[in-house]
Amino acid sequence: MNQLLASAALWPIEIALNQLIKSDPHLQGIAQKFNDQLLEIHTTAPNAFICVHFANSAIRLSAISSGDLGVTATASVSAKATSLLNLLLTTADSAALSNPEIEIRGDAQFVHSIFQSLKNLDLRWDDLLAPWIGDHSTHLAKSSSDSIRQWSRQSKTSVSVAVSDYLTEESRLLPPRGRLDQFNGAMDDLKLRIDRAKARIERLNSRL
Amino acid sequence: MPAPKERYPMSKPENSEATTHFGYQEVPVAEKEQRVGDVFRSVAARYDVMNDIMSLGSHRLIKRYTIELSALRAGHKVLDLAGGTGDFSLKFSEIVGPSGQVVLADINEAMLSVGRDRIIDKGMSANIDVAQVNAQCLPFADNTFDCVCIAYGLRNVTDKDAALKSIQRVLKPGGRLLVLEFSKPTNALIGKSYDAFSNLWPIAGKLITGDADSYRYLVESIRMHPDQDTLKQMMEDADLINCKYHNVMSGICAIHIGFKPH
Repeated sequence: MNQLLASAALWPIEIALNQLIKSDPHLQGIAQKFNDQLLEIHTTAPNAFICVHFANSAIRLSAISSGDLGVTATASVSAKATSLLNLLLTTADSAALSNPEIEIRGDAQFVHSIFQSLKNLDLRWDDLLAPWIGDHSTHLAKSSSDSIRQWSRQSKTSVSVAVSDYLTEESRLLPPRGRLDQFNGAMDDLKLRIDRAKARIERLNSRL
Repeated sequence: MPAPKERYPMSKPENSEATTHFGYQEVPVAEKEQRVGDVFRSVAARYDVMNDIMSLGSHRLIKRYTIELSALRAGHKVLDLAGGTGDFSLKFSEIVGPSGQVVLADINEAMLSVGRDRIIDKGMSANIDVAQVNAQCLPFADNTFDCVCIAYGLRNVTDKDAALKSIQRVLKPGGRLLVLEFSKPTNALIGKSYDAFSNLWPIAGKLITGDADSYRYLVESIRMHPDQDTLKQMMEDADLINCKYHNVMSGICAIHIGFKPH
């Protein structure tokens, strides 16, 4: 039953991805390159499994493992979901795949090729949206998105400048590290002297 | 309101010839094929609409799951047996690609005609062949197909054992048989609810296709169909190995899988 539900959940994703591939000859070429290959992705935290089958310039997603199907996967990748997400978002080269948190079995070259292809993707979401909502609406959405992005970039810059200025101002009121270390040393020394004085008082008390 | 006119008498045949069940009725073996043919001729035009209504759309999801279990790859040869209106064949065609081949096969010319028209309309006839065949004696060479799929068809076959043996013969060594069929619910409450729901199908059939009898047969044939373990045993008896089944929706449907030995 779980597999059936997972299959249901993957169905719209598969349709959307295949629409995307269909609309872009470059993506079709990439999918064609991996024709008849099977990639298993297993994530922990959250625990999830997806089997990606490249077939005839399209992809099929399944929640059934290659073992259950009685076929051999080209490669399988196991990692925490966050690690895989970081891998996709990072600008690093394929050396990022050497992360010990990411376990690769099977044809590592195949995984490397997929990773490189995903890195080199240049998707323009407004091009994909235009056929669905029209040029004018897409232009509005793009303008809004650009404005939000610009505002967030400016906000980030101004916040970091303000924090930096604040720290610079505040740091003038703080003692330098050398004086602080000297003060801490003096405090430690004083503590030791107090301890010794206490010990001597106790010894004198015991003699009386 | 007058009772719907029955096309065939309900009585058990008087002569001693071999009989089989047609829904709840016992009919001569030779007659079942004709009667099933009449049922599907009657429903062919509205078959897919009725499937959506009777399953509340869930049959699409179950079919997708079955296709996932087929593990088909590019270049494979597939037999979509009792394929009728061709929805499986269309999906198989996409997967096996131009280097593969799909054969849409059905005993009923009316269902096959709907399927063939649909395939041509979608422009996907390049790798799909259409054949009118009897599942009990498949007219294909031994070891032809990588996969044979029979979805909601086996219960209508007169001699299921002969059909399974015939399928086993045309499968390549290592090839897989997928049987998607209504089965026995594993949960009593779901079973009762499903029985009550399926009792509405003849009424829906009457309203939409003007034919209640065909859908009455459908309900009866589902209840007469072997349960999961019996069908698994039948597959093993037909020399298929590693047979197993996946219950779908608590056993309302089951997908049986078996392999031809190498």
